[in-house]
Amino acid sequence: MIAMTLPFTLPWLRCAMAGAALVAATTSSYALPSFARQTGTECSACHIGGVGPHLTPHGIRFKLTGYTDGDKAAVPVSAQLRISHNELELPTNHKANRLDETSVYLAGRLAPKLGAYVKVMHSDDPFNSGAQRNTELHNADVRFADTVRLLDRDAIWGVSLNNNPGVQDPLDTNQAWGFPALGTTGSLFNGTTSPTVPRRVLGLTGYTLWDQHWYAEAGAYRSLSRSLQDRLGQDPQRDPGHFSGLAPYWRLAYLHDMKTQFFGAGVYGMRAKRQLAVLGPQPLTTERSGPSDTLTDIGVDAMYEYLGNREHVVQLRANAVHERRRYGTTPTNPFTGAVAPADATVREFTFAGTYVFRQHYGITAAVMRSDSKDPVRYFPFGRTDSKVRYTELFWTPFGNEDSWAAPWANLRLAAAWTRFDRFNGGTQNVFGPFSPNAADLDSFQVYAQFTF
Amino acid sequence: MRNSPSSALMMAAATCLVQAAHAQVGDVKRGADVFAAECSECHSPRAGKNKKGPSVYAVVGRKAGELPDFKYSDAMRNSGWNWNADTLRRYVTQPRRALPGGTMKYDGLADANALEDLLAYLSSLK
Repeated sequence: MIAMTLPFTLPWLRCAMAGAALVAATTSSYALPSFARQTGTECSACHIGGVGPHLTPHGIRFKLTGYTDGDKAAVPVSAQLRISHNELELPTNHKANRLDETSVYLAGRLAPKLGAYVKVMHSDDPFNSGAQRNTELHNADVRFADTVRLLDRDAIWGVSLNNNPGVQDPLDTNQAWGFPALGTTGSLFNGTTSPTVPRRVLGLTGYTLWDQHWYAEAGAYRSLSRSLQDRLGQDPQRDPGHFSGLAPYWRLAYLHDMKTQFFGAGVYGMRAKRQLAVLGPQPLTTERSGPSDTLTDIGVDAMYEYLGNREHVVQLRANAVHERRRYGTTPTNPFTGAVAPADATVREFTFAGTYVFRQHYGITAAVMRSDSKDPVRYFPFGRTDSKVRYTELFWTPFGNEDSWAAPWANLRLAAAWTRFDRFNGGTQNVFGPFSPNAADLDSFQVYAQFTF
Repeated sequence: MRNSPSSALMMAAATCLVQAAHAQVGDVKRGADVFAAECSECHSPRAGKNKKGPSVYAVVGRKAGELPDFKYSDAMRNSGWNWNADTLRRYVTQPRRALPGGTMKYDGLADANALEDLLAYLSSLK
């Protein structure tokens, strides 16, 4: 019986290609017209480049106050369509045009101090680890928030019910909003590797922003059952396992809004003891009866924005995660007899920069790195060292105050390149002899995204 | 050639005068930049465009709280203010102190030069 963390099989390849396609998906959308209709404010007031997810200080405040700001009467619903042309080297120089996303959002004020950002997404992705066409509960964040005076200073406080650790964060440096560290193994915050925590857990956290600068948050998550994950559209084969009790999450950050510039930095962490499902004789068993692993994650992040008079806007984001693993089992390589270590570390690092001219024309460049060493668990190189670069050129013709049909018409046109310099510990034959090279995982995508 | 103490004193005085004049006469273009950074997320310079805050088009000379299609706080509606350089300067510098009970979520603009530039820009909106 082999725990699902042992990636000896070709699902690696599928995960890698899915990860490539996921990059574009995780860096788009989220500037929702329902927010704009509620506040009377254009998308670019809250989002760098007029399209999310990357937030300005104004957008951060809107989020922390529970998506409730504004007094316009608006139905808190938005929708989104995305059509794309995709080119991948694998399999066999794949090229496809498709409507790859149709989403509906519950987004905005539900009650005076209660708001939501909930995305239900229907996707068409031939490299999805589950069904090609799938409807899922994507990121969800429902929160209650209020403002009080505390120690003679303003304090925003609130509680968030969400399904992805970090999705509720004021900074968009983390992997819920930034770039996932694509690799063959990942931290608790990584939504592209398997097992996968994001969107397969439910958490409740409480937070406060005191004196506009000091942000603190604490809470805990529980894993959803495999059957509930399945009903919510999440592939149960990527089950994060059963969390023993509650998995605590914490966050501390300092924010400084200088109007023409913004700086934020902080630390965060999560700890989970999980019991994974196991791979047994066919058909695949679904019992979470595998060994228990204990994972402790600590992240450090920072974000800088130059906003000026909003003609030239720059945003820089950096995020590093260190995960310490204590495995519940130490498998043996049947060919070499080597025994896997009981302890391991996973390191992830992402750095991304975005420049936007006149809130319409932009470029984003990002580097994602991840690594872990284990001579038995990670075939064939004994480590998972991966380096992926991402470049996107985009144009958002609308989204400003004086845009045509604002705030109903929103469009983003973009071309994105994903380049794999290293993957799974190497550059050539990265899944074993006669298997693809890292560069074979490269992809290119052109897409148009409509939000209304 | 070395400046005499008296000429240095005159230059310093002249510099102070220039700075004082600069502080009192704002620059419209710089004021537009100040507006973009400090105000534009909640206020529009376009006529009839209300965001979280009311349009500031032709605000100078307008009676406070009088736009018919914007919901003002009671404090603003009952302030009895007319927007001119003095009332705008007082309000924008420290909104909460100037108008207790107001709802504008802004800490105030402390930079005197930026404030004068902003006032020049607001005065140009007509």
